[in-house]
Formats: sequence, C-alpha cells, structure tokens
Amino acid sequence: MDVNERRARVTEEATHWWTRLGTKAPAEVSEVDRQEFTQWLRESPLHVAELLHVAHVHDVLERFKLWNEFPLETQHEDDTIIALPSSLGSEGKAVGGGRINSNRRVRFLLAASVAALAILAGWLAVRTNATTVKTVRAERREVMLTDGTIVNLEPETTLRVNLGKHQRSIALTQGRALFHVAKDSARPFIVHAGSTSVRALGTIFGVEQKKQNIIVTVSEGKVAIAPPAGLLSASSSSNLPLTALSERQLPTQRQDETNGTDYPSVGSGKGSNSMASPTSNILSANVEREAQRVGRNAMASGEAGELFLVANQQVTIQKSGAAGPVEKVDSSRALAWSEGLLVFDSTSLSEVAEEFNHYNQVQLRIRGDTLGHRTISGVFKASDPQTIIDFISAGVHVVVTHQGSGEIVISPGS
Amino acid sequence: MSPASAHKSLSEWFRRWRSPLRKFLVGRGAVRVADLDDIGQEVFLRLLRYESAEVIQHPQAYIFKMAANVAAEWAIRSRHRLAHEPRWLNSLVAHDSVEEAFDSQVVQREIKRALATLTARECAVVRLYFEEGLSKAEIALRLGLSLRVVQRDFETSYPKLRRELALKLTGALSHGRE
Repeated sequence: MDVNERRARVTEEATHWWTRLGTKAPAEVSEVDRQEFTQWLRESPLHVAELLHVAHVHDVLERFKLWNEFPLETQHEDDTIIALPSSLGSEGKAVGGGRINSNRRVRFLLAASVAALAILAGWLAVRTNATTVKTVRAERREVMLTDGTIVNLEPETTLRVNLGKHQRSIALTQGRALFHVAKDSARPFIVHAGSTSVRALGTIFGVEQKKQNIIVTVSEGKVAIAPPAGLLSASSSSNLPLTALSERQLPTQRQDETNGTDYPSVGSGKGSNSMASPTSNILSANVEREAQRVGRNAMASGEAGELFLVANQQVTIQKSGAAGPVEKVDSSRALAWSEGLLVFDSTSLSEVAEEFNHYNQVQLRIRGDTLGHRTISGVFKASDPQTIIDFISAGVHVVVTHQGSGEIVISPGS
Repeated sequence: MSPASAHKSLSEWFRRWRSPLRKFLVGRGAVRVADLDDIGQEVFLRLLRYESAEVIQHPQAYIFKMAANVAAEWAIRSRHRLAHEPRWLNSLVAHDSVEEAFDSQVVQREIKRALATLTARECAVVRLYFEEGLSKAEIALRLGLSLRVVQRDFETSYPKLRRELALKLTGALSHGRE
C-alpha cells in the first residue's frame, strides 16, 4: 500500500471516529468506544494528524456561509452507478442495496448514463487512476463500472478497480464479488485475487476469497485462470463424475447430528421452516440439466499454464497456489450468495454463524463445541438471521439470548 | 428547524468542543493546515506519555488541548527566532484574525469549490447538518433517505473535503507560525 493510499484509509478511519464520537460529551460515549478511540490514536502519529485534519474540515464547514448556492434536490440522482475513473478527484461511492433491474431497457438507460458520465469524466480527466470500492459488514452493493461491467460486492469486500486503455484490472483484496463483464475485446478484463488472476472472456463469474483460498465459479461464458506458475494439479483437467455437488437435491433444509444422520424432527424434506420454499424456484431442475450439459464439454488447460473454466464449473486455488480439481457445479447454487442467499451443505453451525455475520449487523454467537460442530444443510436468506435461529431451534433444544441489540447468543439447552 | 434551534445545537458544539479546537486552529498559535501533520506527530508523542486511563476519560478534549498547546508553543518559539523586521510586523498586524480571513470571499469561494466536488446528495446532507443543524435522523427524513445512507454520505464527504481543503486552503490561511 503506498503512502497516499494509507493516508486515505486513515482519513476514512478518522472520519469514522469523528462522526462516531464527534461532538458528544464523555457521558454519551461508551467506555469501550473511548478506549478503542484512544488505542487508535496511540497507534500512529498519522492517526492523530488525520483526526486534526478532519476536525479542521468540520470547523471549515461550520464557518461556510454560502450554503444557499447549493441545491437541496437530490431525488434524481442515480446512486447505483459509479464513475470509476477518479478523474473528478474523488472516490466513487455508490449506495448499497439497490439492485439493478436486469431488464434490457433499464440496462440500456444505465449504460447511456454511464456513457454520459464517461464523456464528462473524459473531458475532465487528465489520467485514469485506480479506485477502491468496498463494502462493510452487512452491506451489499451493485455497481456499474464505466466500461459497462456490473459488479455485485458482497459484505466486507474490497476491490481496487483500474480501467486502463489496454487492460481492465480488478484486484479483489478481500471478500467476494460477482462480475457481469462487458465485452471489450481490446481490453481484457482481469481479476487478481492473491497470486491468482482470472481473465474473463465476456462472461459472468464469481470470485471469492475464503480462508485464504480463492474460489472461481463461472456462470456464463468462459474464463482463463492463471494461478502461480506450474501449480496446476494433475486433476485439474479432468471432470468430476456427474454425481458432483450439482446433482444433489437442492433446496431442502436438513439438520444433522455431527455424525451426519438426518435429524428426525426436521427431516430431509421441505422441513418445518417456511424459508426453504422461495429459494426452490431459482434453483430449478432446468439449471441442473444445463449444468450437466455444459459440464460434459471437456475443458482444456491453456497454453501458458492457464486453466479454462466454462459455465457451471468451479475451481479452488489454495493458498499455496495449487489449483484443485475443476468441479462441475450448479452455478446458480454456487453463486447463490450473489442473490442474497446462503447455501449450506453439511456445514457446521459455527461456520454458518460466521457466514451470517458478514451479512448482518446483529452478530450470531454459538456457544459450546457440540452445538458449534452440529451441521445443517439448506438455503437461507442472508439478511434474515432469524430464519436460521428458528431453524436451529426447531431441530435441537437451544437457548436463544439477545444481548443488547447487537448480539444473539445461541447456547445448548439444558 | 428554525434558525434559533440550529443556533442552539451549534452553541452546544461550541460549549463542548470549540474552545480547545478553536484555540488550536485560530488562537495566537494558530497553525497552517500544512502544519497539521507536524502537530499530529508532536501530539502523538505527548499522548504516549500520558496514562491510557487518563486519556480515556475524555480523549477528544485531550487531543485538542495538546494540539493547541503544541501550536502555541511553536508560535512563541518562532516569534523569538525571527528577526523583528518591520515587514514581518506589518504582516502580523494585517492578518491578526483568522476569523476575518474566513469571512473573506476568497476563502468562502475556496470552501465552495471544495464542496462542489461532493455529489449533490452528499452536499445536501452536509448542508442540512451545518446550515440547519439537523440531526442525521432528521436529515434522512427530510431527504427521504435511510439513516445509513446519510451516515455514509457524511463519512464519504469528509475525506473528499479533507483532500481538497488540505491542498487549497493552505495559501488562504497563512497565519500563525512563520
């Protein structure tokens, strides 16, 4: 990270502290906040300096007298588009939540607005700089880059976008994102994650960083993956038998004991919980069939150690740089996170809680190893932790305690 | 919100904060924006000398009080170091109030220029906060936005303004330490 980047990040932190503690009196600020703030200040002189800068900004705004020269109408702003080349000298920030309607007309309008923005940006631009787009906990964003590519960012994800003349380069430093890449044969679209790079060839694909592994899943089209040289495993060019993940029964919810047997009171059917049903539609049998059809097309390894992935295929690149076998998956299931759904397949409750916690301000805590190791299967709405709590409670006797507004503790029942 | 209530919330800000902050920014030892980094460094060193528990009581006040002290000390030091040339004394007389400098059209225009780099919505959020003294929840209601969006607009505006003002206001605020 260069000096300017570091400073920019510290400015953000300082602003965060300023707005959090701001002008509050000590009694209004919790002891914990004050402790953390003090700790932060004592970490670096840069922190102190940036806080002073932010205070200065506040002071300046307070003395500004020409407010009436700025309009208050903001309703017509389209906040799902980012002008990514930071030619205006400011970091583009779109506002989360709003999903771009996928119908063509809306896309055309968006593309037209982006084009207009791009012209304006081009007019003002001296050069194109990289821009950082990030989401915090419980925040999902959909942004359109100036080349027309749409990126869905999941919570706690950071992307660095650099759309150059000859190459469109995205660095995924944490989290996961789905890319609907706009075709532009003159400028390849490359996503870098760890030491792996994924080159898109006009496609839809997801890249996630999970426990230091990089998982690439293709939904449409084709991508070329270049893990660190020479580390493709022998199995990478072979297809899995069709009994892979995609063939399993999809949106059922199941609670297992740690030994993997179905939990009787919930069963392996639709379950007693209503949250299973809405998700069934999107994960239809058609998709399954399509997955199998495409999957049969053998995938070839690229020339310079590149690995090609087509629709409904997934590969995991380990921390060491070794690529695991290419798996045939149902991409709508494997990329369900991009629809706000979390799919668990014999996943331990502690991992489930961790996954939910990315998506919600309210944090789930599972007490006790036995409960933490208990596995569940099913599809859940990421933004609704109550469904998972209900689901767990239906399967096993637990005590659910709400600790303040920010934490829910699930402990084994006595 | 009426101007009176806006005034009330601002005076609350004055009571709690402005005194140490203002001493630091516009007191006898007022600093140039460009010097904030040096001041930050010195405050940081002093901060390490204090017991954590002591600072935690009211960290914000500690920071600004220390910053004001550092600035004042530096101003005194530089005053003694410099030769008392008539030219220097004249410039001191001519610009003895930063408040006046802020009222000047040049500075107001400069702040306006910086504000123009914000998006219209960020600008509206900041305006309602400072001009009308609305709380963030009230701003959200007024603009038909969620509180989170208001909060975020607020947090994205400051770094943008900080970048703009740091570069441009340096010249406008050529007061204090020489």
